[in-house]
Amino acid sequence: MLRKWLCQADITVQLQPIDPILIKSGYATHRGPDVVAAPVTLLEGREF
Amino acid sequence: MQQQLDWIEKNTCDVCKLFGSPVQAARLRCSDGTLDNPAAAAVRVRDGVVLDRDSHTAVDGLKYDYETVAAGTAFRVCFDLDNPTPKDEALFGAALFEWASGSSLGGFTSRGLGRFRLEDIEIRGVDFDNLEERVQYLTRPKAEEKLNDRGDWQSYFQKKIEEVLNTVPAGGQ
Repeated sequence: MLRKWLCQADITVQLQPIDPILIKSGYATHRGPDVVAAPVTLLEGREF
Repeated sequence: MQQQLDWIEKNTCDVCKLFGSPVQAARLRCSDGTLDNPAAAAVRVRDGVVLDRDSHTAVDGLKYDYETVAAGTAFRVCFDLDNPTPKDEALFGAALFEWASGSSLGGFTSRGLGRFRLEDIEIRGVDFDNLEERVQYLTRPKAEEKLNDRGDWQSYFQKKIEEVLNTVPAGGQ
C-alpha cells in the first residue's frame, strides 16, 4: 500500500565512549581462546 | 486494509509504533556507527578466564578472548524518523536526553565496559506541508541541503515533550 510521506527528521549524534566498548566476544573452550562473531547464520538448522 | 491499520493503531503502544513491532515497521531507522577518526581507532583483544564459583579460582584450560574499541573512539550515528507524530518525537527526545547524559552500550558493563554519552547532537528536518521546505527538498542536489536545521535540539525536544505531556492526563496513556 502506498503511504504519504509527510515529514522527516534526521538526528545526527556523536557517540562518545567513556569506557572501552565491547564489539565482539568469544567464549571459553577447552581448545583455548576462541573469538567467535556474535551473529550466527542458520539455514535449515545448520550453522554457516 | 484500513481495518487492519485501525487495529494496529488501537492495539499497539507508542513504543511499538516508533521502534516497530511484528505487525508494523519502525518509524525510526538507525545508521551504522561510522568512525569520526578511523586512523586513531584501535581494536584491542583482551583475554578472560572462566572462574570456578566454588573455589574462586580460574578453571584450568578455559580461556576466551574479547575485543573492545578504546574509550574516546567517537562514532557518528544518524537516526532517521519517518513521518513522526508528536508522540514519536517526544518519545525519541526523552531517549535522547537520557543517552546524552550517559548510558551504557554492549556487553560486559559489570566489568567496566560500555559507558557512553552523546555529544554534538544536530536535528534537521523537512515538513512537506510547507511549500518552501518542499521545494528546497526537491531541488537541492546534496543530501545535507535538503533538510532544514531545527536549531537547538534540547529546546526542540523539550517543547515536543511538554506538548505531549500537556495533552495526556496524569497517569494516563
